[in-house]
Amino acid sequence: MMRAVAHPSVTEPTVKELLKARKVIRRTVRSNWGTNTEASRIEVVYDVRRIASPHENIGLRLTAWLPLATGGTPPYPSVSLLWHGERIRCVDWKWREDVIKDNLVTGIVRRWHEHQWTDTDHGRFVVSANHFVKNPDFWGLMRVCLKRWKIADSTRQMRLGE
Amino acid sequence: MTYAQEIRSRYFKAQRKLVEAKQLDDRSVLLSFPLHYSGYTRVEFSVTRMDESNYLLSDFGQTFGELHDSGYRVVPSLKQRILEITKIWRVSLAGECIVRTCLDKELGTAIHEFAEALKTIGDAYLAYPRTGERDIEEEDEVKQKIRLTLNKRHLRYKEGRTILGKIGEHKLDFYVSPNGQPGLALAIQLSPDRVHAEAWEFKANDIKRSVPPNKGIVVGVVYDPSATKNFSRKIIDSVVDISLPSTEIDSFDQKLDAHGVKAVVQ
Repeated sequence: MMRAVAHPSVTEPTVKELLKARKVIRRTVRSNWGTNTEASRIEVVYDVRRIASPHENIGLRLTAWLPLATGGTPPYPSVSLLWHGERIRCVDWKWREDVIKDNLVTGIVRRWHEHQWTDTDHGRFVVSANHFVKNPDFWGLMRVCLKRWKIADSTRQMRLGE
Repeated sequence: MTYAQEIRSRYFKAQRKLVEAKQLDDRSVLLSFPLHYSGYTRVEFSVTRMDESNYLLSDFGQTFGELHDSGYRVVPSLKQRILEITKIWRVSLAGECIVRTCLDKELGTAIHEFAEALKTIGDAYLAYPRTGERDIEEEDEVKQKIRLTLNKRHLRYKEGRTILGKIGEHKLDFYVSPNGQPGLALAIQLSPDRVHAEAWEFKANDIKRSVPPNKGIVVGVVYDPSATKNFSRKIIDSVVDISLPSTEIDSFDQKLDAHGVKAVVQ
């Protein structure tokens, strides 16, 4: 199924420019890290802004998620970057994921992979992430994504995770 | 072989390649289906033999993870709605996992139905980008800046007030009664489409025509320029007194000056 029309600001060139720009976690929008020992998941959402204009809300959110009780299957965290509600980057795990380019399945990747926004395929284009996801626990994956997406951490929550 | 049998056979042959199975341990298998959550990621779940005749199917939290990664708040009401959508396939929730138990004799059908249930959830929720939460946060931020400006100017205002126009009622985010001076009717419309922009064309005129109570009232709309198409923007610019991009909220004070909106006693 094709997705709806993207937010007008979200295009391949603007996404590339945004990812190249240095950014910072401005505040925690939502987090249950360390607050609820009986929670069935860990989830955090951060408000990310450009370092050059930290007071301007650009609608950029970094989210991370980990289900804790999965019934015997290993739990896999995922981290994504949403811009105006569009998932412009996401690193997660699947046994198999189809690589879609220009609306055609051009191959497959296995295990860790990164969804990358393109004008044609939105987040359906994926590349393998196995070479850079070496420590796939919740905070390990978060740190890898922060570095890869040029986001500096200025929150206490992140330091707690180290 | 009849033509119908041939087509069926070719379909099943393709499915054998498209559906993948990875053995996790002696009792569990991970299945990966050529079905996608609205074109994003494949539907995958595990099948675990619990005893001689019972199986557990679990998405190991992947579906709610997809929703979370797409900006949804996975709250109990959302989970309940999902159960309603998928109750025909007899799924239930275990923490963050969508699960189904089945008997040995119904395993094949259960696998098919479980995959269909997960795919349906993806289609229902992931086909359109989730922007609501971001809008609410941005709206709160904009409102806070408006409050600061109005307080600084000692203007008495009401929030969420509905006022009467000549024809209908209009709900506003901020309202300053004219009270002998120009008043203010301000709405926050962060991502107005053409319909909303045109609606404000009517609202602005209706509010202004309702004299005397709204005589001299200044009508304003705050919008997010990155989420507003040029056409909608032009409509708003042409019909309201204060057309304010949310990125230029700091100029609100000057715009109030320009329209003479000030407190009776400073």
